Amino acid sequence: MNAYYSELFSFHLPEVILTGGALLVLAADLLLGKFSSEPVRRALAALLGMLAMGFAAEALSPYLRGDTSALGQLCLLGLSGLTLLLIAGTSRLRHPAEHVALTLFATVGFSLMVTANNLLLVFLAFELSSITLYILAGFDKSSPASAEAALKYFLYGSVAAAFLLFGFSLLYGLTGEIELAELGAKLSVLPASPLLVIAWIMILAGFGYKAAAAPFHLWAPDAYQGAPAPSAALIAAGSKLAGMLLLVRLFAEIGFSPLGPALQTALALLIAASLLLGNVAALVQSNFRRLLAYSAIGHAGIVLLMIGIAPADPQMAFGDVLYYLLTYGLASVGAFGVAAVLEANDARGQKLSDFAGLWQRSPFLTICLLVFILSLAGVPPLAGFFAKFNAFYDVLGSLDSAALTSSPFFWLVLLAIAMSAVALYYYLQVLKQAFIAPAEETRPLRIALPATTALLFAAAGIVLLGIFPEHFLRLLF
Amino acid sequence: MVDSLFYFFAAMMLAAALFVVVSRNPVNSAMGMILALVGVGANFFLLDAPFLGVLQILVYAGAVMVLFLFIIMLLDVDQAAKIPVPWTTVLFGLVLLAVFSGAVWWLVNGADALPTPENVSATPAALPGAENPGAFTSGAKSFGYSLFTKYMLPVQIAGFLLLIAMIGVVTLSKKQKQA
Amino acid sequence: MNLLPWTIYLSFIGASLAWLAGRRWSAPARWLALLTALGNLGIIGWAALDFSPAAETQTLVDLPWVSFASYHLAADGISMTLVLLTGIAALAGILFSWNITHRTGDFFALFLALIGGVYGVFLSADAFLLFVFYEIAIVPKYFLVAVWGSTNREYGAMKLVLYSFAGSALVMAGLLWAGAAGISFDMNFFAAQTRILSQVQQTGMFALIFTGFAVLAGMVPFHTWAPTGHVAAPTGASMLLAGVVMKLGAYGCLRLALPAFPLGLDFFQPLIAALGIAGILYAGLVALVQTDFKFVIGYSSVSHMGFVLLGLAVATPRALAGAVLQMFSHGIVAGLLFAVVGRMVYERTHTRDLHQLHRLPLFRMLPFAAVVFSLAGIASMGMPGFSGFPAEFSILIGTWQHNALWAVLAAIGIPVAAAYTLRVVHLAFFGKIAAEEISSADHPPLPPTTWPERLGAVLLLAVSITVGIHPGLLLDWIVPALQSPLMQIVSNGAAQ
Repeated sequence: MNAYYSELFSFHLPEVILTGGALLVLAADLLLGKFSSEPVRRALAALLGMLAMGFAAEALSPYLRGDTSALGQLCLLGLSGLTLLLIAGTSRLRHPAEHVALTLFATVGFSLMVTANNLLLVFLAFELSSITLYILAGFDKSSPASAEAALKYFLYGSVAAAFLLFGFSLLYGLTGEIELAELGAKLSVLPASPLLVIAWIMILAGFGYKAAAAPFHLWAPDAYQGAPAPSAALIAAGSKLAGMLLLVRLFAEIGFSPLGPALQTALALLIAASLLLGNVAALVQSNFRRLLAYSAIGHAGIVLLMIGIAPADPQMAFGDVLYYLLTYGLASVGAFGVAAVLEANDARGQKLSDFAGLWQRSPFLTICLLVFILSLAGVPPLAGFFAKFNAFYDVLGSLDSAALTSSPFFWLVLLAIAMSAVALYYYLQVLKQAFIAPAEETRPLRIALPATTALLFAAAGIVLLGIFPEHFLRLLF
Repeated sequence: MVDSLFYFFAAMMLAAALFVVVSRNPVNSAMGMILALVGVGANFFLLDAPFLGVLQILVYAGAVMVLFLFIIMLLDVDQAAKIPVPWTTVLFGLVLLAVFSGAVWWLVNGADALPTPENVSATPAALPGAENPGAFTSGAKSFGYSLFTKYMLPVQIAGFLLLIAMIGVVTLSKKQKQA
Repeated sequence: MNLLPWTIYLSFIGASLAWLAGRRWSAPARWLALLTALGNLGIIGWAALDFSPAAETQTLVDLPWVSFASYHLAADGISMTLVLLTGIAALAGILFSWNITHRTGDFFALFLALIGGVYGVFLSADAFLLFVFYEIAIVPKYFLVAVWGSTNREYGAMKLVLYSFAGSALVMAGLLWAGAAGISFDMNFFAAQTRILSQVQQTGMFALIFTGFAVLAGMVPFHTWAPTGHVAAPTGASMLLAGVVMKLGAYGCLRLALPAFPLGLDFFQPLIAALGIAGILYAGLVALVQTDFKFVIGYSSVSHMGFVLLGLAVATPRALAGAVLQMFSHGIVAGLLFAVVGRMVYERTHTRDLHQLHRLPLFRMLPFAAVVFSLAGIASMGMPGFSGFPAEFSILIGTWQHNALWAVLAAIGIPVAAAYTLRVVHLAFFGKIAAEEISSADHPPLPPTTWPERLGAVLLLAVSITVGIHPGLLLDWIVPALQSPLMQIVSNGAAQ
């Protein structure tokens, strides 16, 4: 092994460990699976998966100080780890080893997305995570809804990938570079050209799909509804965090200064559409997961708002997006976890009315759901509130304070605030069922230990991040 | 000469790709796809990358598409049933098409839209291929060399991508045992 | 003095303990809540003895928190007054909720969480921190009303919480705008900063923040949540809603909107005064024709809060002192009125319809309730000897010195208040008092009033009378606080 390879190896040690872990999970299942029952296989796979995550996190730890992307990778590992716990604790699907291995591969994809430094790697990482997630979305072979989710997610995803690739190829065509740093340097001296605009619009469309921003959101409600709960959690949490961190980095490295206004208008349109469509459509949902999907579209609007300031202050945008989507991811994983526990007990947990009487059946689950939903709604002292306030504060702070009202972002912040008041209505519809409605089914809920651990970690994370936000944000600067 | 050949092959690719989508017979679709991939290979030749062109035709138009055809024949897929398309969908598609074509028109007609030596004179080396060390042009050795040095990581990732796809296919298509 | 932040922590600790205890038993949850409230009151009493009124706010805790705000708690006379009100109202609310048996632990946990948020608002010296506590206090209200409420509870709860949240969204927008314009959120720096803002900025920010808070203070035309919410709420919660939570809105206006943006107050002064007077008169007249006992009290709350808004709009030291005193007084008296209506009468007779109550000899059946309600009614009318009198009187004097017409119009509210109070006392309690033919057989005796009810009623009445006879007790705290540089901006700005 020469010096170049060993350098590459040590730089990508976390990914190597995760990949090795995935292969180990598959191999162990192949060797031992014949002699053991399904639950034992699932436990073994999840245990090996968690170990791989742990070692990967250990490999990251030397870089945590001063390297923001390492922190991003760590957060992604955390979210994926919670998903693994959900698989271990709530899933009854067949092929547990493949389920765990694919989750690990998806994490490799996320991790590469955060560190990729050239267009080729960006695209490959994007696809690595996407293809894994298509499979995971269709993992429940007994459910037609799962197949539908996978198909829709796949069709929209492949079109989005094509857009992204087209955009990248235009960037390459303009500069002859694929390394982000050199690409940015060359673009900065190029005159603004329609080609560049088209390239960026293609790229935005690709990432708009990843973030489920309107009008590229059509897959989201069906995928959230049909996919198995752990896969949906991964799509909602890890995939979104990785995609948006990558977009911030692209903006930060390449920048869109030569064509500011045109692209800002495009971004502003995406934001306004996502905020309005997501929050208004969520008002009429009676399915818990579709409600989460539409609320995710609304949140995507706020995330894109933060990305709008990335060219001006990439470091701040990276920190804000990371904090926002970490707390959002914890709350989503938690909410899907609660639904998964219900489904594991009752074989239903999709409709809002399936949550009726949760307070009688499991106070623990009710409190967790309360924390997750209120954090999504942005109620203090939970982290969702601080994430939102911090985002708005930084967005407004980055604008020219003398001409504040002439910037579209000022009005978008106002729209986002107004929409957060609207959003409380539908979030309370969930809590109304869980906390107020009488139970139709009074059997107490049985929660497996891994699921309890996952929910506890997510809830504690949200509370602690909300009360001590600065302790987290300070790691970034 | 090179220009007119490019336009010929590009037109062929587009027509063939369109045929893949509209054809109701899967075998015909697959044939159309072969034609489109051959067009890509031809364009590689025109770009002075004969090795890539050969690979494209050998691997994609040859091996991969033969596998496709093999599977289609094996499964004996019928003609696709005629699905009525609601007019709103057609309208939406047409609107998207119009927007997209408008964007392309703007792109082509816009002032200094395409990079010419004049408007990138600030960085003359920025033209595509200008700093290309011939990695893709002069045959298998240099091609392989850059793949396993400079592009080591992408190659590995692409390899794992295929592994993942394989795991997915095996898992999803495996028959459920009746419990 | 430095123990005062523990009112916040103790409330949240008590909430958690009550929730844990309530999962199995209801009595310990109840007693834990009572102990928490007593502990808080003890802390407040201790701090009050230690408190020397001064112009400066006295910092209790100041820790770095986030990049744009610190965890800064402080107290001055105004905070002390309202913290004391909260302590008393919370204790009384728990006493009047003694009969809650459905999900007791959850009830007291939410009740104490709400109280914790309220203490936090009154003690915050940082605008962002104040806003955080303000929002913490919103969500428990929804559950308190929606789970334990009565008439139309889910509608009332949702309306209440959406109005509150819409209001807080306005406040958030205003705060963010101010932050973007370079204002630091520490309230002690407001005075030095206002001159960096232009007239347009001040007016805009003032409009957002004042309106946002005034929604919760029941300002016409955003008051409609108050009657529906109060009526739907269980007794303990409606005591808190009317007694304390509406004051959060007024306090926010007084602490944030007025000192930070004096030009905004100058611009909107006539409008706010007009809305305050409209609230006094309109809600008073509406209260006069209600047939639901609790709606009368609900509208009377809006009417009394109109006086507070008027005092804030006039913003002379005397009017402001009156407004703060009115907040305290109304908190005590409205709590008492809701307690009598909700707990003593409704939960025994199961009707709040005044005409049905009129057919019952309620004065004989519930003599204690009748006496307490009559006294509370007199206090609510603003009769001398009760806390309402010095409060409304100084607001009116302050207004008179500023604009005589406003004072005259607002003063009409006092006979209106007398009219609806006397009407409701007559209809509800002194119905068939003279009709000797009604035998007791027709009306099975109602359960007698219990000791927690008596204790709570006596506590509230005693406070109201003490403050009524000797308003100086509180004014000695309030008036020096109004001399602070911050409040000087308010009174000077408005007087110019």
